[in-house]
Amino acid sequence: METESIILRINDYAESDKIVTFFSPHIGRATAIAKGAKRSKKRFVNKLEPFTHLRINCRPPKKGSLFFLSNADLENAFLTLRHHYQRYTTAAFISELVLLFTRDHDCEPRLFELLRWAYYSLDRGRSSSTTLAIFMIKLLQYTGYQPELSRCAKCKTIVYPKQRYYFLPESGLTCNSCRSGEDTTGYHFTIAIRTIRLLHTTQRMSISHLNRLHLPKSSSMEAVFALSRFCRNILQQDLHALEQVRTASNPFPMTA
Amino acid sequence: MDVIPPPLEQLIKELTKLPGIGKITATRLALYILRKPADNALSLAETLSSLHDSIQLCSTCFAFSEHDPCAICSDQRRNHRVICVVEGPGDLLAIEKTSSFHGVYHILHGVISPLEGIGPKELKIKELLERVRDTEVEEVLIATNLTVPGEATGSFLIDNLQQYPVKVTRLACGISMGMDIKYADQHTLARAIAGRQNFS
Repeated sequence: METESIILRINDYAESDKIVTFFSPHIGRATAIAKGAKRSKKRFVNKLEPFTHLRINCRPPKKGSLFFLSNADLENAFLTLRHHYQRYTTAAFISELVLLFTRDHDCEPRLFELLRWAYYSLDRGRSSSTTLAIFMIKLLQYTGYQPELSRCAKCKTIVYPKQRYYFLPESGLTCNSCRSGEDTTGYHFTIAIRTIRLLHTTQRMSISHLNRLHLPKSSSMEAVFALSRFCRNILQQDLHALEQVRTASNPFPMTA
Repeated sequence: MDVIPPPLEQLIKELTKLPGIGKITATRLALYILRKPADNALSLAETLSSLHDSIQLCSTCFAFSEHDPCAICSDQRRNHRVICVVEGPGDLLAIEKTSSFHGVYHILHGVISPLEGIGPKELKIKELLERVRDTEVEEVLIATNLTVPGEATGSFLIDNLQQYPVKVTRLACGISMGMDIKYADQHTLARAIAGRQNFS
C-alpha cells in the first residue's frame, strides 16, 4: 500500500536494517522494517531520517505488528530543523508527544495534518514556543484529552477577567476560589486570562487556519509550561525531550 | 526439569544484553563457546574481565586508550591547534584511515537525541568548550555524521563555539566518488552545488 507518512523515530537494527516508526493518515502510528536501509544508495538514501515527510510503499505484517517498508519518496526533509538547535529539540518533543499519545494503527488523519503543519511551521521559522503551544492544545483535542478552557473545571463558572486562574496538572483550568481547597504545596502556577483565551480560540480553529494565530511569546511559553505538566499527568511519565526544549537556549550557563 | 542448564541460560541472558543480539543468536554463540575447548572460553573471560581495568578514557580527547593521554594526544608531530570533533571512536578510526587529517580529536560519545533524553550535558561538549577556551586552538573541524541528530549536534557546537576566537569548519558534503550525479538525491546535489570549489 502507498501512503504519506512522517517519520517519528528511527532505530538501527542488525547489520544494515532500520526500524522506522512513522505516522500516516491511513494507518496511524506504525512501525516498519526497512531491510538494507543503511546500505541503500537509491531506495532509502537520505530519506529515513526523523521528521521527514515521505510517500512510502509498505506491506502490512502477516503476523505481529511490523510492516515491511519497500520504498520511500521524499516529500519534504524539513532541512532547517537540523540546522537550528531550538527547532530540532521542539520537533523531537513533538515526535515524542505523538509517540506517547497514540497507539499502533489508531487512525487519526487530523493528527497527521497537525503534525505536518507543526513541522512546516517550525521549518519556515515560526517561533518554536508558539508552534509547540498550538500543537499541544490541538493534540490534546484530537486524542480525547481536551482541557476545558471556557470555565473552571471544578465549579464550572465561566472564565471572567477579574478572577485569578491556575492550570492544574490534575484537573486543568481552576479558579482561585476552587484552588484554595486544593493542595497548596507551591508548584501550582497561575495562567493569564489572555493565555486562556488564546488557547480556547486555538481549540476552536481548524488546522488550515492555524497560521493566522499570533501568540505573544509570554503567552506561548506559559501555555507550553502549563500543558507540559498537564500532559505529564495524563501520561504518568516524564517527557524526555522536554528538558532539552527547556534548556535549548542556554544549556551551559557557566560557559556562556 | 530445566531444558537448558542454569549456567548456560545465564550466559545466554548476558549475551542478549549486547546490541543486536537476540535470544536465538545468543543461544548459538553460547553453544559455540561451550563446544570449543575450555581454554578458549577462559581466554575470552579473562579478556573481558580485564577490559575495564586496562582501557580508560583519554582525559583530553576522550578516546578509549591504554594510556592517558592517548597515543594521538601525546604525539608531538600532530597539529594540536586543529581539533576534529567526532561522534564516536569508530568515526575517529575512519578518519585516521584516510591519513589526511594531522590534527587531534575530540570524541563526543554520542549525539544529541532528545527522544532518548540525551542532551548536551550527557555528551563531552562542555569538555570541548573548555578545551577550546583553555588551550591554543585555531580550528575546530566538526565531523559529526550527516544524519538529523548528527547535523543538529554539529549546529549546536557551531552556535556555542562562536563565543571563542577559533575557525569552525564542517566536513564537506556532496557526491560520492564514482557516483553518477543522475542518481544523487536532490539535497545532496544541492549541497554539492552550494559547497562547490573555486579552481580559477
